[in-house]
This record gives sequence, structure tokens and C-alpha cells, in this order.
Amino acid sequence: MPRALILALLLCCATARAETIMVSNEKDNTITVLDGGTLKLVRTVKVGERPRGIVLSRDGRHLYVCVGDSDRIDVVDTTTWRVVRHLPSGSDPERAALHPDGRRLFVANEDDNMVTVVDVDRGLVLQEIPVGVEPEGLGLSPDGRYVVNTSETTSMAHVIEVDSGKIVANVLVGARPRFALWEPDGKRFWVSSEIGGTLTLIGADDWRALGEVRFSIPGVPAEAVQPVGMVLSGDGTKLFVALGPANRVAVVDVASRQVERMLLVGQRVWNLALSTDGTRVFTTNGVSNDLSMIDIQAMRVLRSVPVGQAPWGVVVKP
Amino acid sequence: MTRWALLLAALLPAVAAAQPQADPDWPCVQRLVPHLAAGVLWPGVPEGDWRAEPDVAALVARIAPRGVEEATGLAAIRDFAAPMGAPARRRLLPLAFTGTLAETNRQRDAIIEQLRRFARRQRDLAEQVRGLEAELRTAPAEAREELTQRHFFAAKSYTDAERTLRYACEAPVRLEARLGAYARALRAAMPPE
Repeated sequence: MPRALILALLLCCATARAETIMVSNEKDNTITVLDGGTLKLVRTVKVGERPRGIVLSRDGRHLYVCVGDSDRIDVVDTTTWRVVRHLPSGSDPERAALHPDGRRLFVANEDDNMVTVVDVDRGLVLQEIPVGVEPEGLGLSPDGRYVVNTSETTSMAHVIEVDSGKIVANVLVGARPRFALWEPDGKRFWVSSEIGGTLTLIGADDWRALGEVRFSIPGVPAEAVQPVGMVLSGDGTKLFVALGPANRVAVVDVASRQVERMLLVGQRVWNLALSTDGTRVFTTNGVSNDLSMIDIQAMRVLRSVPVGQAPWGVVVKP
Repeated sequence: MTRWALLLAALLPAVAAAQPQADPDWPCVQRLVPHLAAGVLWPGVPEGDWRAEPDVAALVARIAPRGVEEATGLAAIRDFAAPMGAPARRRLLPLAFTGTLAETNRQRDAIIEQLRRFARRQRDLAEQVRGLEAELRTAPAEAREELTQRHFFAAKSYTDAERTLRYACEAPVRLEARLGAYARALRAAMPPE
């Protein structure tokens, strides 16, 4: 009986944690692959130059990697762990987002002021949408109707209607907006602003700002508080925000828009990902070259493990 | 010549756009954080004068200079903490952090000033290139060869220097990374509260 129990426990937990974490390392030109349960290194995959944004295909079989200095997207097969294809991307791709149709990949081209739409099946550029200067963050609405693109230099979030490719709204946000994240019901989205040090919440019915969140940390100068990556908890009630060189992840209560916690993680925390079971948040720390794991229930940083040089993007594959 | 002009035109806005507000002399893509604050690496703000503790001052002098490898510094921190009991650790390790932070900031300040000088020099060079281009447009045929040469070398100096910039901009980051590793090692050696 105890043995059966142990076996059952082992099976349950092996299943719950049978996930894989992938991290892009901007300076190493690699993807680090970690076991999601043990955080042990599984392998390192060579890709093109300066990998930053990474996105999983719907079925999890491919990882799309923006390799900015190679001006393309590398497609990594997540079974053989090889680059199996290259996709065209426009110049200097930084970040990408996959449409819910699983086929259209939206790519922000930092140095030519475009959002490029790529058909991942056929390997073709479908569309090039001119946007603001230095496009950066990309957030697709859950229904796939809109893509929000943030422009670093003009401090705007551009809302683009996917089918027409037209910009339907330009919303002024804090300086150097970096990232756009929709809530799961598609009614609102959040934009983080690196230099403004703020978050802006924007409603999808009239594209107006509904509120702002500011951060202050005792002993940390305001210019070190640089909000970038964001992720929502599985139930959508908590928003985790990476604060760059403040080396903190802020926990924001979505309903009250209050900052509830500040968790000390590695240095220059940049992007975040949620574990498949929604219990943990993984962070990439670009200066300390590691990945930290936050336990959501305990609201504590449980571990940090080394990855490659200048880790940037992170995704979790079930 | 047109290629150089295009290249310059492409480079200059990038330099300017990297820092949309504040310091026009900061040439790096990384946002300038002038001083590393204790709070970014240490929970709370440690108090006390690290120089008043000779052992702490000796440790700082061993691990903080720019040339010290991170692994060497980490070993020195382990050796420093190993023989201490909990009360001594509680008192001295935060001071060791404060001292290392102060020394690292001093070195970073010097590097940041070098980078600023670099930015000013590049701006002067860019001005020079633009001036030569204006001269070339109106210069009589016999003066063109010399002007073209001067333009070539000024533009080349600019672009050669620009190529080293990405690496130079990493120097403050490398110091920050080493300081972070030291801070984590010191924190890890603190007795549980």
C-alpha cells in the first residue's frame, strides 16, 4: 500500500512537471533547454545570431526563434532539437507572436518600423504593416482580431486590425513601451513602459487608457525600475511584471491594480513565462545569466539556475 | 562617399534614439543607470562604515578591483565567511556588500565617463564629416581630391570606433554582473533570520 502510494505520487508529479523550459541567449546564439521539474540542463541548441523573441507552435513541435542579427526566424524542431527551417522575417526581428490560427506569425522589426506577417507553413511573408518608430512589443487579442504593437520611440501602442492590416487606434502610453499583454477575455490589455516605469491598462471597446500602475522600491532609484515582460497567473487575478535592472518581479493585483509584492530575482530580469500547471513563474535574468523560479502560492523565489549568456526570451512547453 | 554618408545617416539617429530622454552624451543602447543602488541587490539598506572594519576593508580590496575574476572573488568571500559565527556574519557580511558596492560604483563611474568622452568625440567626428561633405559639394575640381581623402578618413574613424562601441558598452554590465554574484554569495552566507 505505501509503495502503491509512492508510485502514484511519483506518477502524478512526473506528469505534472513533465514540461520543458526554453530560453533564448542573446549573446551565445543558443537556446537553453531545461527540464521543467528539475531545472536541469537538457541540451543547448545552436541558432542564428542574436536570438531574442521565441514562440512555440500551437502543437509545441516547433519553436520560432527571432534571430535579429541574421535577419530571419529559425525554426527549431522540439523533438530532434535542430534548426530545421528558416523563415523570412524582415530586418532585425526582435519579438514575435503567433495568431490563434497557428499559421500567421507577427514579427516586430525593430530597425525598419514594420510588423511583418509570416505564413509559418509556407514560409512566406504575407504582409508588411508600417507602424511607429522601433516597433517592439506584440500582443494578439485572444480572438485574433487585433494585434497591439508598441513603438519604442513614439511611446504609443498601435492597435492593428489583423484582417485589414489597418491601424485602428494609437494610444499614448509611458516612454519606451516594451510589451503588450491581453487579458484572457479579450476585453483589456496591459502595456509596460521601460523608461516611463509604468503599466497602462487599455480597454478594447474604445481603446482608451483605463488606469496606470507605478512602482516604487525603497533603496532603488526610479531609473532602475524598468517594466518589461509580463505574465498573468492562470486564474488571471495576478499580474507578474519584470522590472529590469531593479532585479525585482512585481506582483500586481489585477482587480485593485495595487502592487502587492516585490520579489528579488536575478539581475536585469527581462521576460517571464508561466509553468503549464500555473503554479510557478520563470524569469530570464540578462546580467546574472540565470533563470529564477517563483512559486506563486508561496510568493517566493525558490531557485535560480545558470543558463547561457544574456538570457532574453522564455517559453514553457507542456 | 555616398555609402559613408548613408552609413552615417543610419548610425546617427540610432545613437540619438538609444537614449530618448536625458543624457545626449550617453552612446550605449543600454539605458544609463549612473549608480548601482544597494536596494537592487540587497534586501533593505545595510548600514555602517565598511572602512572602519579592517577585515572587511581587506576583503573589499581583494575582490573589488576591476581585473579580479568572479570565481576568485567568490572564493575569497567563502574564505572570509567560513570561520565566522552567526553574529559576526550578521554584522560583517552586509558591510562587505556595502564596501564592494561602493568600490564597484567608483570603477563604473570612471568607465561611464570614458564612454561619454567617446560619445563626444564621435559627435565631433560626425560634425567634421558633415562639414567636409558640405565643402565637397561646392569645392572646385582641384581641391576635391584632398577633401575626398580627408572625408574618407574622418568617416572611417567614426565607423571603426562605432564598431567597438557594443563591446565597450558591456564593461559597466560586466562589473554589475560580478557585483551581483558577490552579493548573492554574501547573502547566501548570512545566517537565517
